[in-house]
Amino acid sequence: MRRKQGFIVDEIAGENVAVPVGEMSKSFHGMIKLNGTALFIWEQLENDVTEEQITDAIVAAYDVDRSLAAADVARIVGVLKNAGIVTDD
Amino acid sequence: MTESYSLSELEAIIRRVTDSGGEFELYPKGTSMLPLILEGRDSVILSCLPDELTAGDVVLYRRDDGSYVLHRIIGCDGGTYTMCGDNQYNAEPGIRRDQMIAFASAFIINGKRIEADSPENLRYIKRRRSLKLRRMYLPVIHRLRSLVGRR
Repeated sequence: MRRKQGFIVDEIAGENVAVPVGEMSKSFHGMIKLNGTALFIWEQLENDVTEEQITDAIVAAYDVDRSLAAADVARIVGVLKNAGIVTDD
Repeated sequence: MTESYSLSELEAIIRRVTDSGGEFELYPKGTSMLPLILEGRDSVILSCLPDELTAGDVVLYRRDDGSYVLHRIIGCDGGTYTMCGDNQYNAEPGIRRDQMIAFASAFIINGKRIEADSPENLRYIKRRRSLKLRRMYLPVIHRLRSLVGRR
């Protein structure tokens, strides 16, 4: 799976927010607030990755419990998939 | 994962999105653009400013005091623009192009997208063109609304 192109991440009021630009902004109206974990996952989704690979990356970067990391990945990827931003293509 | 931000926080991102050729959906606050835009229900699609702006166009701009306004151009004189909300009858002259941030290219009214250049919107603009007429009926409407506690 990977994230669709056409978003920028910018800081608004001290928070990281993903905003659609160009053609993407015509089909997706809105912004996505990204906390630290969500931003990390967002960046991983730039490439074609699996949930397991993202979880591995989080555990390697932050030395956190794998099951907690996997739950975060599943939740955040689920939100992005529901929004149509992440696809399995 | 949703949040509400002030326009001062959003200005830079609105410019980035519209400069990219994109659209930014804004939910305006206030009553000055009634009856077209109802706060909490309707939104505006902002796009980059066209080369030429004309009377009838709705524009997001920043006043010199830092406040942000989404109002309609009702006149152009010597390079500056006169603005007025659809629910107002006191015009605001002297707005410069460099104060303008984005152009309302469409409106989402009660869930329906209406392009700014659509016949439906052009008919609406025509009906509200006369400021003189507005000065006659809007005070009455505002007074009646305040009596019944409605906007």
